[in-house]
Amino acid sequence: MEGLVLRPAKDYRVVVLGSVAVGKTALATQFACGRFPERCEPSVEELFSKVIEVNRAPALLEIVDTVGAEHLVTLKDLYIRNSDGFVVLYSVCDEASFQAVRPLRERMGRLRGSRAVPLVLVGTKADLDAERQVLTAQGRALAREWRCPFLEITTKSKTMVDHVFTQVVREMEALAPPGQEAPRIPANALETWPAERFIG
Amino acid sequence: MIEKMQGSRMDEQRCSFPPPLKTEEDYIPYPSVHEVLGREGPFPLILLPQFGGYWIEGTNHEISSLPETEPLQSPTTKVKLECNPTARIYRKHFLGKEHFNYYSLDTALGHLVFSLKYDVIGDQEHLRLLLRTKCRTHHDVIPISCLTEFPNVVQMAKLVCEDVNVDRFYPVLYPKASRLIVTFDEHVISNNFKFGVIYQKLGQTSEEELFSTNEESPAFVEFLEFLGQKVKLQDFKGFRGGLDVTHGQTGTESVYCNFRNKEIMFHVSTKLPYTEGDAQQLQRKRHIGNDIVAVVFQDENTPFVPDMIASNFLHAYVVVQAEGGGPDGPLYKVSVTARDDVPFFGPPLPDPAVFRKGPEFQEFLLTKLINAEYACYKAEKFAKLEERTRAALLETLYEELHIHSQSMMGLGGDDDKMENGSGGGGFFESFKRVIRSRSQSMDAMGLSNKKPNTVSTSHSGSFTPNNPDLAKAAGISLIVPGKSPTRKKSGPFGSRRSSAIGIENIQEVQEKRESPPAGQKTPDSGHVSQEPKSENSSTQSSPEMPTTKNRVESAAQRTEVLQGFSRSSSSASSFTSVVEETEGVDGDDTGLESVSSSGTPHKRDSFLYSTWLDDSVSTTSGGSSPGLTRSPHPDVGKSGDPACPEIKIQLETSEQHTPQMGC
Repeated sequence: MEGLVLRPAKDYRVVVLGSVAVGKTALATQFACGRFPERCEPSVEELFSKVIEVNRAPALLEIVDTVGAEHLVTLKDLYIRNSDGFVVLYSVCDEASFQAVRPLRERMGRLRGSRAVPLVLVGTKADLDAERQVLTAQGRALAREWRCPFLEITTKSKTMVDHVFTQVVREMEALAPPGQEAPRIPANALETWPAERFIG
Repeated sequence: MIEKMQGSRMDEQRCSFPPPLKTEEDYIPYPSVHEVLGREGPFPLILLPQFGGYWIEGTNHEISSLPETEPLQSPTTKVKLECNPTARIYRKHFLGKEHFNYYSLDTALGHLVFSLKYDVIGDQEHLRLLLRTKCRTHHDVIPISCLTEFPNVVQMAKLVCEDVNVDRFYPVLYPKASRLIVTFDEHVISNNFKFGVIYQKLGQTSEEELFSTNEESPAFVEFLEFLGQKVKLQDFKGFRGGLDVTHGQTGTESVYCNFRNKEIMFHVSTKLPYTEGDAQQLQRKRHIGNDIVAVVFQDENTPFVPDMIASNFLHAYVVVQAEGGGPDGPLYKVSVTARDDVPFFGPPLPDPAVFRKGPEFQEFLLTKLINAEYACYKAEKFAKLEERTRAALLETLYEELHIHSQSMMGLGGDDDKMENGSGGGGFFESFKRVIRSRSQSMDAMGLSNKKPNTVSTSHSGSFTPNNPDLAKAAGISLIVPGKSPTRKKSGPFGSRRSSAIGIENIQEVQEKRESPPAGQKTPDSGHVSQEPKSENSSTQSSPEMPTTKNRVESAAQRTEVLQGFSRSSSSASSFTSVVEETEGVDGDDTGLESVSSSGTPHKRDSFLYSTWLDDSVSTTSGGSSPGLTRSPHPDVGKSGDPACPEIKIQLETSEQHTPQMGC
């Protein structure tokens, strides 16, 4: 503890995107609550919040678990335009969900214009190898094309899930505009930072 | 044991005859579906879950109680689709007609976008007022004869919403503003629907069983043919409702229907792909589980319980049970259930709730399904999302109107004049300057809005900014234009046009008329007369008018405004030829909206009058619902982007901090 210095947390809004039933809520729930929901229960949008430490600095993540179905397109577009980072999911057991991520990425680029699109491409349900429809090489090739991190995970593993969000924070920091850093840290943050620091 | 049996008997009695709209929560749990199935039939079509949470409509299905001579459904019954009249007011009454748009920022109400129009209905003069706040849209038509004095813009806004508390409104000067405004107003309108269709066999009690059924009985096949047409999904061109029309990943065919210009794609449980060994049948549940409304079809008498399917989306079910009808065709018993926070939706089920197969029942059923989806959007989960969406869209609209209006005014300076003479470069330089100023103010807003984040670890996803901070930021941005080297009296450019003219500017016009004309007269474009040019000049300088000047002149403002209004009337008359020209255009935005006349021939007056009556009636019956959370044409909202890609502004939004329930 002697070497630790309290630093103001950067706060980010991270949006989880992907087709229906690829495991968006499972990812968010595992990350924020340490719980894996066994049953598929299609979600209306949910919000989660959690602090993690990345590169010895705290990061406060607000996670938006979006609606995968084609409702509420307007609100999803607003999140794409106004959020800091993205986790794009497909299921390795569902070829259609992989086909859907390319047009999604194109739409993200259009909506954000010249702003960077910090994202991590994630293939879920990697534990169900018998039902695999999307090869690891396909996901890796797409991530290389997009120049973004790529992971294949099972949301049953908290370690893997945490790694996803660590990666997205690194992407957001790496792609942040140079002048944007200073204004996002309030001058009096140290005084308002809670006494107890919770690192997930 | 005996007491337990008595308890079961009492529960059975309650369950056998529930009231038509049972919404009460009962502390004693309802019997489980397995308990009910353990008894003798007949069973109701729908059972409540053990701990309630749903209401049921349509519990009498005694066919023997039908008089033989009476038809199963009265032919005079009118099945009516719900509608959202408020969302269509701008398109019906303002778009393409002479009107004024304003924007402002209220400390309590947030962003405001205000449309007003002088209207003659019958032979009476009215003001039609449409004010958008983050919570709802206020609309009113006020006879001018009821006003003791002619109101200014702020007073007009108070007429439709007493809570408005701003010093002034700013005129919208962007020629394409009407397109942005109508897109905002209509974001709640959708003409595409998807509904699940679940086939429930006798005795099935779990979603695993429902989604594992592959065979289709003849009665179910007949029902599907009745519901809509079977379509091949490969290369299907209509509304696909999330189904795969290119790679065949969601089955080969489905059921589709076009009903009153609304497209309906059904997700049929037996036609979605079956996966061997998958207990959840995710390939089926992913689509039906993401529908808001579902039809449950039953061959035989078996109860459906709405919590059989675990989904946060599904909010309403229409259960249809087939009854062999003999030579006249099948009869269908119908019950409806929905979550407690879903308001009742029509058309109401007849008593007894039994239908003969035919076009009347099809129309009834499809209307019931569509109205069910509209009603479900008012349930708590979806209503919150709509609030969030509306507030964020309104803020985006406000920012767009503000940026464009500032850009229009920025073209008046000497430097701009020189640059503009050399071509497009000057024009874009001006845009860049405005954008740079805007970005700075956005950064300032971002800085101030970020501060509270370190206090709380909870976040809502709301885009609503902290109003005081935004007001400060808005103030900052409003000061910036004054720093640019702009002369108030610079000569106007013929090509410039305003889409909205504030009443404050009429006073300016009066002053200009008193002074001798300055500078050379620029060449007149084909459609611009002298008066619009003057109005443009006065509009440019109005934001720079000192506050004290406004205050000093307030005493004379009434007379000035009245005179100005009179001038507007004469202007309307003088543009009659332009109106005729405008009518010939195929609905494209010609930029002539600001010069369209509100005067109309007597014949059109009658039409307008009857239209207004219809509006009044439907508005009364519909109330002021927040509307639906669907965006029918996402591309329409983005159609403005290609026209001016340079001025995309990064919108930083602050989060509203509300305590969030722990996971």
